[in-house]
Amino acid sequence: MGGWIMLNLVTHYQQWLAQKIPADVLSPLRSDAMEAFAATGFPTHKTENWRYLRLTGLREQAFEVMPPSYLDEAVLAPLLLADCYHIVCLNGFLMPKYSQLPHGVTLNNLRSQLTDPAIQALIHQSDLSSSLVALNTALFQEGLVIDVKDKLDKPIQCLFLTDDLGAHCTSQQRHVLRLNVDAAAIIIAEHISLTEQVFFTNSVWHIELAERANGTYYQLLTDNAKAIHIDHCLLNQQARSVYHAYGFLNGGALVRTDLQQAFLGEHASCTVKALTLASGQQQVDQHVLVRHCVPQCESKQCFKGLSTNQARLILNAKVIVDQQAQKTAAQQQLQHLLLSPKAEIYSKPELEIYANDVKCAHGATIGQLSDAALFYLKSRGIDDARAVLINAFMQELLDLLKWPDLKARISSLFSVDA
Amino acid sequence: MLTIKDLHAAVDNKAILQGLNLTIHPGEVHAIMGPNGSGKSTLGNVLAGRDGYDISGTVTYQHQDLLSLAPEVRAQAGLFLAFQYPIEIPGVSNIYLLKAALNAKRKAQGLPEVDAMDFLNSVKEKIKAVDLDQDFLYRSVNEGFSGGEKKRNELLQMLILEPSMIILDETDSGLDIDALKVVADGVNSLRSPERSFMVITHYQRLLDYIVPDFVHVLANGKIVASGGKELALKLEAQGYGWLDNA
Amino acid sequence: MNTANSELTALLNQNYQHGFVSAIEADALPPGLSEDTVRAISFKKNEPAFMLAWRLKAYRHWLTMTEPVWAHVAYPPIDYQHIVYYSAPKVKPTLNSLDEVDPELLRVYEKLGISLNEQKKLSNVAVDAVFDSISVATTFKDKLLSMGVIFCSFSEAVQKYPELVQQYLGSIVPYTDNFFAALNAAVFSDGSFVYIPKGVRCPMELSTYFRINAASTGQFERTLIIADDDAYVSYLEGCTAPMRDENQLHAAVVEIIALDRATVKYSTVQNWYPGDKDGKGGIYNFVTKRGACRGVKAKISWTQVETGSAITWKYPSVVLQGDDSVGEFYSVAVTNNYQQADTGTKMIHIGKNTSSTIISKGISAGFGQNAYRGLVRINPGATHARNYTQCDSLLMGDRCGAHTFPYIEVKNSTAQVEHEATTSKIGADQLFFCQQRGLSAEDAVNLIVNGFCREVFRELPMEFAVEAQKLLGVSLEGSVG
Repeated sequence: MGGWIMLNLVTHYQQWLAQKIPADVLSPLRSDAMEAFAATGFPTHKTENWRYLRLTGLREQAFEVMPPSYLDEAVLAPLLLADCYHIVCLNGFLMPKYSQLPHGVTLNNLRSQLTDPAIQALIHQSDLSSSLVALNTALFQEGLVIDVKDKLDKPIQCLFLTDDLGAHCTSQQRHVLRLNVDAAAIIIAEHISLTEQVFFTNSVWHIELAERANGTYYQLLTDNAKAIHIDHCLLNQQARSVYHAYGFLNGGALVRTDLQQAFLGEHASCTVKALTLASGQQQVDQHVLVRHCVPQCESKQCFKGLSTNQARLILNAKVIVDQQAQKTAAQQQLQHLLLSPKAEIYSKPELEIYANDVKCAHGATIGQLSDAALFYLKSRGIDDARAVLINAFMQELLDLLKWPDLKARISSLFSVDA
Repeated sequence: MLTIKDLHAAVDNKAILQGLNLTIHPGEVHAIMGPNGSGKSTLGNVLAGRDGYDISGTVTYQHQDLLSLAPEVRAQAGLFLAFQYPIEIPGVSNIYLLKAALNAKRKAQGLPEVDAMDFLNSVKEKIKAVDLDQDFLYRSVNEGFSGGEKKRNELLQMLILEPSMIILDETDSGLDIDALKVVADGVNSLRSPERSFMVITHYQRLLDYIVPDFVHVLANGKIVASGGKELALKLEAQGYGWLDNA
Repeated sequence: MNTANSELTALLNQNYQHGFVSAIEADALPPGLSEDTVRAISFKKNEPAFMLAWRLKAYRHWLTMTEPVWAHVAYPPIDYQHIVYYSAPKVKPTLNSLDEVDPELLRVYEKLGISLNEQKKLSNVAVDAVFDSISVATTFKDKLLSMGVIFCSFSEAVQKYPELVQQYLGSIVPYTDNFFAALNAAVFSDGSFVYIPKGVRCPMELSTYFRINAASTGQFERTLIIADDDAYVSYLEGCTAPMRDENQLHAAVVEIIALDRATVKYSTVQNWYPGDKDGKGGIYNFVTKRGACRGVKAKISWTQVETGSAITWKYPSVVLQGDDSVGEFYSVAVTNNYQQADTGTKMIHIGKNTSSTIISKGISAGFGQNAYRGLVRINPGATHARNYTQCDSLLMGDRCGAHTFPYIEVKNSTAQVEHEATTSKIGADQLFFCQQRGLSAEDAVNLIVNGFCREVFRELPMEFAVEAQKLLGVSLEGSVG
């Protein structure tokens, strides 16, 4: 049964490639990618990296190409953060009218850059053994190429909106973010649904940090409760570059994020922090792979996850230290709270270490709010003790949101019914 | 006891000791003072046999060529380095290390292993003298000890092993005045005509409690001035700056 | 730094001590595996029909399976038709006393430091010696039987206690469990059997020594331990093998059943031949060990010191069914030269108030690869389950690897699960400090490694602690005071 449906779906996406994607320089790669996707289809619980995620939602319907749409300024205005530069995409299409950037940043449509060998090289890094990346490689059309050459004075807010025209459709997006030598930028990538319907976003990011570049990337996933969101990020860091990835995941029916990082130059550092709330029937699956390929780099990972109702929260954080990567310091800290009887948490912190002069440690906890603390607060007259403790758990990460209106918006999404 | 002649030591081609000469006779207490980076700790490490230095010169210890001996042979021959930062060894109890070290020394001297009961009694006696609780005997070596506790633990090892040549490397760093007195009392109780000390310190404060016979000033890897206790007081009053012109 | 390293290397390169081959005549089947092999083994062992039927089902199922590939180990394909599946020392059909054991065999065990004669007289350990998968001698049998404790070879149990065997065989590790467990079920030739009746505290440690002697032989033994209500037993397992250039397969199965309030402590010192320093030869140790706490307040505790084998693939596990039951796993795994280990445990919490503890210490040296792989699963019904996991890795040298793959699956919101892991090397500072206190570099390394493993060693019974200490070349502390 499942096999038959899958076969139909594969045919659906194969026809898409054949009929809707014009021939371009990437055609040979696209057809390899489609072949790789067709060979496995969407991953099942038998695929180690996907074992806890149920992709029924992807297997049950054939999503159509997401069409462009018109953006109502009244809808957009309240979403734009003050004191930021903006990039706005609707249904996967860049809206140049609402995108303003300073000197020091260039923004291009990926479509116009495909002849650039550097861009081609990046796209060829796509890991086709991941069937979702393969699907994206075969079908992507739209995407941003953001090049930062200076130290920016203000963050860039990247809004990714999906409206009713995007319902039951999929957008396969591919983005490139490059920070030149000594450049610095803060990117706030925010995904917001303007529809209540199901849609499927499958995006792949290439992020390149040149020497001494300093990048901070906020990933705010707040899609509607039916949305399917798959996000794959390939990050390469050159010497002395500094990268901060801050994730706030809340919303979507099925969310899967992958960050695949590599240190390619010494004395670089990478910090990954994420706050995730899975509620309702949600499945949220986060994978982070940090690879120390060279000596003297430092990585830190800190995850806080909450699972409530019947939600399923999955986290896999892995550090690989290659043999030559001596003097590596790597830390992982995974903390999870289970807030209701039917909620589930799957946690897998992994270390794969081939060098000896390293300092690597990880810790993972799964538990619940302390009864003693709840009682203590109640005995002091605090009636929403549960909410107080949950907020206290999340606060450290919410404080990373330094813009008051953004913080207020995100914090309200992370409130848990007490 | 100890004769150092033209001692040079370098790390990664960077010269640290550059022709140091010093003679210590039995029963003498020598203080080595000097500014940061003058090579004080390197001197202690080189004498104790730490790896990683390119060394030339000669050091004679009790008529033996010290520099040719492995670190443990030096220790068994009675040379003791009290570490500036004593090392933590998880899972290895203090008392086990003490007994293993004492037996290693006795074996080198051709003596039988210490009797377990005698050893225990003597350790319990000596741990009182360093003002540590008996629980410390069964805790992992230096793990989770405060700075002062670590230094007192070094003193305990010294009291048990009864070395002949004791090098104290910045023993006063990280100690409050009470702990300093405990350590100094312990060290003074070991002073005897057969035993010598090299007291490495940045500050003269320690020398109020462990009064040296000689004070040497180390700068740029050499002894640039020597004198009695009054030299330490001069350094205290005038700092190390005047040496640049000396 | 360099002297310390070279001394470390010298220490690590101590040779395998048990690598002699003994000239003992064996009654062996020709190499190869088919239904006929399975039938021949069952026939040679004069087994009842249910055993043959079970073996054949296992064999047929095995044919449908493929070797697992998910472990962090690499080895060339195994030719299952090249293995001898049955090799028994030629001995008299039944042994009534040790006097009847082949004297050459007794000499082998003496060489191994296991004097069956001496043990019989002096120590308080009952020993079952298994030679090329065949149990050759069991000591103290009568004394144990007087208390109702059954401790005998598996073949003997099949003959004398078929109803117990039929009831429990495969009930914890079914032949469908995995590739190697299926293979074992089809061809296992012997092993140990233990039954502790209700309310009995077994008065001595029960011990099995396994030895692979014949060439090209696989060892497929099977151990079944049943602890009835309120029973207690401590069981020890030791293993050695001769040095051979070829790889030999060891695919054992151990099943433990602990009923209400019963406690089973299972300790292993695994010292199969690890191969030479270039990685040639050595045992493939692909073992399935699992216990079930079937009763309330039952407890199963695994302690293992894994120093041997070219490849170790083993996850002694506990299924915590009974309310308030307890599972423990204490492990030291050493990989040196080209050894590979992928080992850990599974703690499956099903009953209420169940708790588990996992302490894993991995030591990697040379080109050794050491992986901890563990699963902690809290099922929906397991309210107030607790787990604490700690895995530490020690790296010696810059060509080895240490890996941690913990799986944590929690489906009950009252669970408390905690996992910690660290990776470090023996510090040059620690070595110098110990040497400055008069210890040789070798003693200093031993001291530090021993300290690193202390939490596991203290779980071992005295007799085994001594062996473990010898194996790591470490003198155990704790004798003073």
